[in-house]
Amino acid sequence: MPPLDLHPVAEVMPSPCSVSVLKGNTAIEHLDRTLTVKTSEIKIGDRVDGLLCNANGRILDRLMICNLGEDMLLIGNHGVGDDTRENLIRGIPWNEEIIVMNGDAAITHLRLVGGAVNRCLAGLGIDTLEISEERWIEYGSALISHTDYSELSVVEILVPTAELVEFTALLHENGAISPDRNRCESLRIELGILDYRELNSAFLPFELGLGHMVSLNKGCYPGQEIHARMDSRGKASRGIVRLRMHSDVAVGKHKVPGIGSITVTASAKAFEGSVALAVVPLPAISLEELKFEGGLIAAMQSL
Amino acid sequence: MGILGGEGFSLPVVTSTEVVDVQIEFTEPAKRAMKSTMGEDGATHVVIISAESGGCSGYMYDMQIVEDPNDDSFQRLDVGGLTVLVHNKDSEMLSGIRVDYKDTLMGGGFQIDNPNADRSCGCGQSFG
Repeated sequence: MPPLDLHPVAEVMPSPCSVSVLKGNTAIEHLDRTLTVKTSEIKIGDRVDGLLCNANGRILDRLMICNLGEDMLLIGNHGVGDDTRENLIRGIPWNEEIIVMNGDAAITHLRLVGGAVNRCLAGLGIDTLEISEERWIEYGSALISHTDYSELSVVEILVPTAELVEFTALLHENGAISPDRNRCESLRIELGILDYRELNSAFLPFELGLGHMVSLNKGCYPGQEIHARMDSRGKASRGIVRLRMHSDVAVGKHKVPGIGSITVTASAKAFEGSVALAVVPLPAISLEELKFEGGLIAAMQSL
Repeated sequence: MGILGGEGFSLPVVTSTEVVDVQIEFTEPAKRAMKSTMGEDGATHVVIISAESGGCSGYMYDMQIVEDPNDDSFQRLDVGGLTVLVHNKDSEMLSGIRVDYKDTLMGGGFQIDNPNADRSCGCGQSFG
């Protein structure tokens, strides 16, 4: 596989998202009852990533949570914020006062990726050693954290939308660039960053390698029975991989002779062809390449 | 943290809930168990049956004995002289349920059979 083609400093990628705020003394407990991860011990400034699943164990939303003290900030998938908020509201017990607010227009999620992200952030006066995966640090009104992927660490930035232009200009002044839409998508695929194209009800957490976002010992939550059964009976029947091809592949279901049906969730042009994310039957995961009906050959790489 | 200090946040989000007249069937063992549990509190306290998010199937049942909240948001049912309350927001999910009581060491206690549920979890404490 070719080495990751990174900008020498940094690229700022907007990440479409939904934003919800929970207010109330029992907001943490409410999330704990609802999500796949334990939130009951989340402290102020902590970051916890979890999934909202349906009773069939399928993913409804992925939430990046920040405990802001009196409020819980939830960054979810693009396009499903209303459903997630309704889901959260419907389950509020009669004796708990929890308010749910829509902040989709208020906060923007950016990702910073590159060969010298530290230098870019240092120019803003941010000590990158303070940035962790478990905590959010404040920079003015913005919040910063990072996520480790197999290839690279990606900086996550939440910034008030009203300050987005100013904040992005600061990053540009310190060497970052804003890539075009295709580049954002190809970087996302190269890094294995999952978004609403993958994190939806077509898939189960284990199929997307998200076992770390499923707590099997926290007690019941919607989907828990299915997740526990999958864990005890031998995991998922499908898995997610990255494909690399010399030409484009359409998003959707494809037949691969000898393998069966695979689902391409995302595709983008990349250096010398295209890259894609696909969910394939488990027996195929160890293969080095796939041959689509029609002859297209794709090199396969696990995330 | 100042990230919520800006503009663009909505007023509290509300969802519309259909309110139906609640009907609940209690088996004789369930009535006896409730009376026994309430003891002398039956005159001042009520049983609230509710649903909240959680459990394997989406919602969990909850039963609490509390002092009568005298709140119009609840529907009142008379069950053999005891008062059972169901909050209007839960009325659609809980109307038609059958409450039973099983006096067994394993898996005993109040059991709820819910015709509105598409599914329920193995332990019977949640539905969806």
